[in-house]
Amino acid sequence: MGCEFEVLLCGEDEDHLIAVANEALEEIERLEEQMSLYLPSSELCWLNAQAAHQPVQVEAGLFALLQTAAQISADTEGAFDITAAPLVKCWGFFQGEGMLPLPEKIAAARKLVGMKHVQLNGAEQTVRFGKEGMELDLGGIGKGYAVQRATEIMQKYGVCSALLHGGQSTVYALGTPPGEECWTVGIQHPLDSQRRVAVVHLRDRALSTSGFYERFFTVEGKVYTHLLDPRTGYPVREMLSASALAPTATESDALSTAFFILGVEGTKEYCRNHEQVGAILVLPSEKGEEVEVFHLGLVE
Amino acid sequence: MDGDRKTLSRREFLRESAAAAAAFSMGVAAPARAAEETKPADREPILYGFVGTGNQGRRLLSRAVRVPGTRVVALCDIYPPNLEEGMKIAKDVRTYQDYREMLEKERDLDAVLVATPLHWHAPITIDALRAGKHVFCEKTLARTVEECKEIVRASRETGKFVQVGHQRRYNPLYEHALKLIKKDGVLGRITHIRALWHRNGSWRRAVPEEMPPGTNLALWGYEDLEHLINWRLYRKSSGGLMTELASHQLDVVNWFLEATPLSVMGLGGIDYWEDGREVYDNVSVLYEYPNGVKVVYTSITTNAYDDYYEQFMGDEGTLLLTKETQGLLFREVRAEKLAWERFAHKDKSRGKEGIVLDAQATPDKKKRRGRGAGKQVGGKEAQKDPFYPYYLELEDFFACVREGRKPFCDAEAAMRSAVTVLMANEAIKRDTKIEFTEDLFAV
Repeated sequence: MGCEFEVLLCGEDEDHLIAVANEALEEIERLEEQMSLYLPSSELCWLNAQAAHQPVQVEAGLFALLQTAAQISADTEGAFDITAAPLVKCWGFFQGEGMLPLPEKIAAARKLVGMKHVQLNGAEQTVRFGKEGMELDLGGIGKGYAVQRATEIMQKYGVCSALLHGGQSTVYALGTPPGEECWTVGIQHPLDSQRRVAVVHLRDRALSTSGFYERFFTVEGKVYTHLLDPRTGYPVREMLSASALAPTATESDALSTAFFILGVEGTKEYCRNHEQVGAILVLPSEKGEEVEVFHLGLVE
Repeated sequence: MDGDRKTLSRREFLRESAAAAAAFSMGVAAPARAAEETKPADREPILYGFVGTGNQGRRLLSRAVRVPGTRVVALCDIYPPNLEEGMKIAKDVRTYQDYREMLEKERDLDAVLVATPLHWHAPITIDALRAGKHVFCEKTLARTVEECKEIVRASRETGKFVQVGHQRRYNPLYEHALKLIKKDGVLGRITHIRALWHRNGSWRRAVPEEMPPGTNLALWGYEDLEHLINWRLYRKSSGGLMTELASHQLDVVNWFLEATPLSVMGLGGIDYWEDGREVYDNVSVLYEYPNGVKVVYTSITTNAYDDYYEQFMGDEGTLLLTKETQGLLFREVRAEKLAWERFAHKDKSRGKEGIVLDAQATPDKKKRRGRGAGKQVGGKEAQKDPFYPYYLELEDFFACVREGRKPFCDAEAAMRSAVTVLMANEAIKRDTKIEFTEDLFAV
């Protein structure tokens, strides 16, 4: 995750709210410890090191997250894919700002990508990779999962009004602010961080945004973003940013990545089949305007 | 509550664990290689029970289950929600709320791991030792000096050992720092040490409104859920900041100086978080060690700017160990240049340039404490991972069980650290300077 999380809790008993916030933030730290690819002792690194050789039993929460990721991958026809780590590394986005790889390197990395190569055994709670060299990267869903777990902790302790975000790209609005009907959240303009491209009103709903601007590099005037299409192995060019609204932050986080890759038509199709989901897509304009904004699903 | 015994045969288990070890060594987690070397194929797995599956317990458990050649067979916690969480990490285990019942029924256990509130360390550890088990116990060793001594006595009498969770002792960065200080003499003569742990938070955990079903607090001496969940805040169950934070850092001081303090004085109070807690929310302590060394320790809960570190100051240099992951060496102007100094990677801290400690740069080839390759691998990333030493300490604990070897951080070493911090609380409480007389450490 490697980003800043913030929680804003509303209520009467300040001591209790501070204690609940501590609890929620501690859970987020635990998940960072579990899912980070930058901590060699994390459970995910351990899983990646072993799963090509034998089934690896993982913690129940992590296993459930992998199942959710597999489902979203299936529902988005592979646009969202947690096995894309070899591609991310190949494009130099794992620990750097990116670089243009040779096509054969991309082709080789692509062979290691695909949820069809991951066996999830629910009875044994084990994970096994079908190919040596595969790696799972929860960068596209972990932040949302952490926000969701933190939300669940707040609810467990009776908090019914709160706003949480991870890295400002995934936010969950629990209930409403005192005396208001909803939380109001702005979506950053992809070409100007000082401006908003849309404003969304949220209540018991999550919003996530994936934008090309988070990490990209330029070669000969062409922009290459870190948001790679796992199916082609190449960065997506058409989209500037994609935002997803969903009942949980886990879903919205994964879907914002998926929508970026799926494009307008694919996202429309997804929203048609999932009535609790909405999207705001921002594309370069073909009509002479700066950008074009598409509101789909819930927000149409 | 007890689950069924898993019907995996020993042969099957050995096959599995051997495969695990083989796979493990392929990636980041080559500590498995050490276990492979110490576990002949015809040996049985080490069976252990785990008592206390709260947050810290689960942090340990999630590492313990990865150590090849070991198997957790029982979990125990008086608080059912903790047991449920523990079972998410360890499948196919029997569960208990009463550790005595676990010791009675689980006769095959080789070891017991204890991560309970502080005041339960001694009773559980002693009972486990007397039941013939080796024990890994979270720090601090115990809540009173007498309890510490009882643990040491029980360990001596039973011939079973206790390892205590001062994970810095298993951290390659600290071992590298000690080598620089002791062998290379980079600090000259150490005269002062400063250590601190500064946070900005209440340290309070949220307490559920309703009692979870199956919770029997009275049986274990807790007044209510608040006293169980927030045990760190009450004197009956905790020594507060000194036992929960300072003991880690003062253990390093004792270890590096190869000494225990001569005297301590200090100030503390409940000055900010006046929420019914009984332990100090800030402590400022001054120790005197042999050879005139002074150690200043502070822990506060109202400002996190300083975070946490240990700083060793000598007449030729300063060594700063921050957040268990970063080490910087600053040389005094009067100190002679080290032969390798100009080749070393440098970084700044608060405007001053220092030499970055890199435990990988000059790895100690000699195998120590049975950790084998464990401490040498994982690359520089491992040094930046503050949780890696949790794995290393557990790996070494199980190696000690396997080999019948005394742990590096055994009950006696941990007792010295415990006495160090417990007496600071006493000095604050009595508002006086306390001398560490020999009888405090005598068992």
